[in-house]
Amino acid sequence: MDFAALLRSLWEYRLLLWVFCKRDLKGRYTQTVLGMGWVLLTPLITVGVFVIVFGVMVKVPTDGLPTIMFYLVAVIPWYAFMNVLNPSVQMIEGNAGLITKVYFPRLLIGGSYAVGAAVDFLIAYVLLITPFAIGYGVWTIQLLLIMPFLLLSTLMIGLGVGLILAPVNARYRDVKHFVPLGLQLFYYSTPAIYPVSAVPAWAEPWYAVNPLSLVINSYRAAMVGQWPSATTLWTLGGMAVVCFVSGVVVFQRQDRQIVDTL
Amino acid sequence: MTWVIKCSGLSKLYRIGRSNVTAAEMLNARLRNMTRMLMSAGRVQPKAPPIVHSDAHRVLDSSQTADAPPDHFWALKDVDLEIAQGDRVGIIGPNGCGKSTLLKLLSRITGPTSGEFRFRGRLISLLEIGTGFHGDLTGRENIFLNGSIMGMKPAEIRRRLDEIIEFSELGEMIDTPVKRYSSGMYVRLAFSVAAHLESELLIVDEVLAVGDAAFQRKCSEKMLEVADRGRTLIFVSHDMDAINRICNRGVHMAHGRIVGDSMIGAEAGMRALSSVADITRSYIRAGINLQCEQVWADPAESPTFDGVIRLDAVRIIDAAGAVRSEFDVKEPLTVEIEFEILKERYPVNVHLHVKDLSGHYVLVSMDNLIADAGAHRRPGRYRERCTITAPLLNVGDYRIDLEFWPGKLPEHRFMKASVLSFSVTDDSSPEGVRGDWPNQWPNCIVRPSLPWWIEQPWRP
Repeated sequence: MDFAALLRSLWEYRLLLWVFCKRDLKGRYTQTVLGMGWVLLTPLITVGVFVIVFGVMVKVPTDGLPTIMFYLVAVIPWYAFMNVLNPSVQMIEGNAGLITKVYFPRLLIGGSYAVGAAVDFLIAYVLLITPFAIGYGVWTIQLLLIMPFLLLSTLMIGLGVGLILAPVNARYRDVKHFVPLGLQLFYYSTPAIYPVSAVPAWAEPWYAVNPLSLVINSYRAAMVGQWPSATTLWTLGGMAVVCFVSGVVVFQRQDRQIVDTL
Repeated sequence: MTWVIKCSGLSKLYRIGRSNVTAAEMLNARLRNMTRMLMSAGRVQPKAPPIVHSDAHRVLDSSQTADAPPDHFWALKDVDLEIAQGDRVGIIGPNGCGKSTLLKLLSRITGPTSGEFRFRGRLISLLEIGTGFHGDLTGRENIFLNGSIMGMKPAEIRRRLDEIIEFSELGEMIDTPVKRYSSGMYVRLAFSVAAHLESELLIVDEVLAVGDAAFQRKCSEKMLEVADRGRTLIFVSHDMDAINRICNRGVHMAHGRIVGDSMIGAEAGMRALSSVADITRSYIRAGINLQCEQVWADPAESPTFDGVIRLDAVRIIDAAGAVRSEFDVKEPLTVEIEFEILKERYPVNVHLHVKDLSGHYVLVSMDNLIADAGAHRRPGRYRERCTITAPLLNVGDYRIDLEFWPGKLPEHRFMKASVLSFSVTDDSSPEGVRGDWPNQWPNCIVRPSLPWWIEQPWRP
C-alpha cells in the first residue's frame, strides 16, 4: 500500500469530507421540529432516565459526584463512540450507490462520521457538561484540558474498529446484526451506569484495558481535580493509535476489491 | 504520441453464481449429501444427470472460463489499450462484453485481478448521473454535493454555478429539496452538473440515453465541445450514431477482449477496420450473415399471403446476372423477385424498403409507376426486377424489406422483413463520386452523384 499516495489523494479530496459532513448533518435533522436540539435531547433524556432509575430508585453509588454529572460524562462520550462505530461498520453497504459509481478515497466516509460524532460531542460538551459542571461546582481545569485527548482516542478507536468491520460487513451482512449486540455487552462491561469502585477485584484487569472505561473514569476523576495516570494515558493513546492504524491498513487492503462483493 | 491512459494486460476475474451461502443452506446441502450417501450405500450409484448449463454460460465464451478457477470467469482478459491526448474513444460491444468492467477499472472503482493501467492528468468518470444526490438537500446543495463527489473543486462549482442552474432550466425550483422534484427535473439537474464537469480525461457510460430529445442533443453538443478543447473522452454507448458523431476512434469489444480498434486498423492498413464507422459497422455486422438469395423450391413452404400471392424467390444480382452480396459503391445492383398470383382478386404492387443494419430508413421504391394502375393482377408467375442505381448508396450494410400492396389500404399489405441483405464497399479508386478525394468518405447514408458548376471568373 502506498501510504504517500493515500495521503495525497485524501488531501486532494479534503473538501469532499466537508461536503459529506454537511450532507450527514442536514440529512439527519431535516423534517424534525427540534433539529439540532436532538443532539442535546438524546443524552439529556438518557441521563434523566439513569438519574431516576439508578440514582433515585436503585441508589447506585456515584463516588461522591453529583448524580447528573456522574452519568453525563459517561453517556456523552459513549454516544460519541457509538456515533462513529455504528455508521462506519455499515459505510460500504450503506453507500453502495456511491462507491460502485464513482471513485474517491472511501476512507473519507468514515472520516466524515468521525467529524460528525465530534461535532455532536462538542456541542453536548459545551452546552451540557460544562454548564452542569459549573453549576454543581465540579468544574476543573482538568475537565477541560483532558477532553481533546479523550475525545480523539474515543473517535480513533471507534473509527478503527469500524474500518476493520466495514469490509467484513460488506461481505457478510451478519456483522451489522452482531455489532449492536456486541455494543450492548460492551456497554454493560463499561462503568457507565456504575462506578468502577463497585467492580469485584477479579474483573479489575478488564477495566484497566477497556478504553471506554478509561475515558469515563478520566472524566470522573477530572471532576475531583485528578489528572489521569500515565498508565491510563499510555494505554488509551496506544490503543487509539493501534486501532486506527490497523483500521486504515485493513480497510485500504480491501479497498480495491470491496466493490465486487457488494 | 503522448498517452494519457495506458492499460497493459488488464484482466478482471468475477464469480459466477451466488457468492454467499447462509450457514443453514450449507448445513442443508451437507445433510442431503450425507443422507444420499447413506441411502445409496450398497446400492449401485445412479449415473449423475447431465450437467445443464445455465443461461449465463451462453453469454460467456469458452475462452472466458478456460483458464479461470471453477465458478469464475474473465470479465476482462488481457486488454491492452493506449489512449492519446485528445482521443475521443467510443467503446462498443454486446451486453456482457466487458465494457462496463473496463470503465469501472479505469475509473478506479474496482481494481484489476492482474495487469495494470496508468493515467496522466485529472480523470473524472461519469457512470451514472446524480451520484450521491440526497433527497433532503436542495437542488443547489446537491450541485455542490454531486459536483464534489465527481471530483470538482468547490471554487470551480461556484464559478460555474449559474451556468449549471441555467442549463438545468430549473429556475426557482433550485432551492427546493430534490425529493420534491419530478423525475424529469431530477434528471435535468443531474445532467447539468455532469455536463459541466471539467477534466482532462472524461469517462462517460451510456448516460445520454436518458432525458428528452432536446436535452439529449444539448448534452451531446456539450460532449463534442469538451472534446474540441483537446480533452480526452472515453465513451461507452449502444447508440452507434452517437459514437459515429462524437468519437474519432472506435474500439469493439467482445467476450472481455478488444476485437477491433480503428486506430490499430488504420496503422495496420486494414481498410475495413480503420475508421469509427468501420468499427461500428463491423459490430453491427458481427454474427449476421448476408443473405443475397432466398428460394422456396417447395410451394408448400414458400410464404403465401391471403391465398393469393406466393413468394417463390428473391435475390440480388449484379449487372452480369450473378447472385452476389457485396457491391462496390460504383456498381448498380438489381433486386429480383419471383412470385405467383394464385387468384385474381386485387391489384398487387411490390414495394422495396432499403434500411441499413442499424435501422436507418434509406429509401423505398415501388413498382406502381409501371404496373397497371388499379387493374387486378392476373393469375400466373411473375418476375419483377428493380435496379438500385449507382452511385447512390454509401459504404455500409443494408437489408431489404419486401411488401406486397393489394389495393391502397394499409391494413391489406403483406410484409416480409429482411428478405435480403447486402453490403456496399469502397475500394477508394478515384472513379465515381469520390474524384481524387483520398480519405475515408464521410459516414453519411447516401453517396449520390450530384451536379456541380464551377464558374470562374465570376462577377455578380
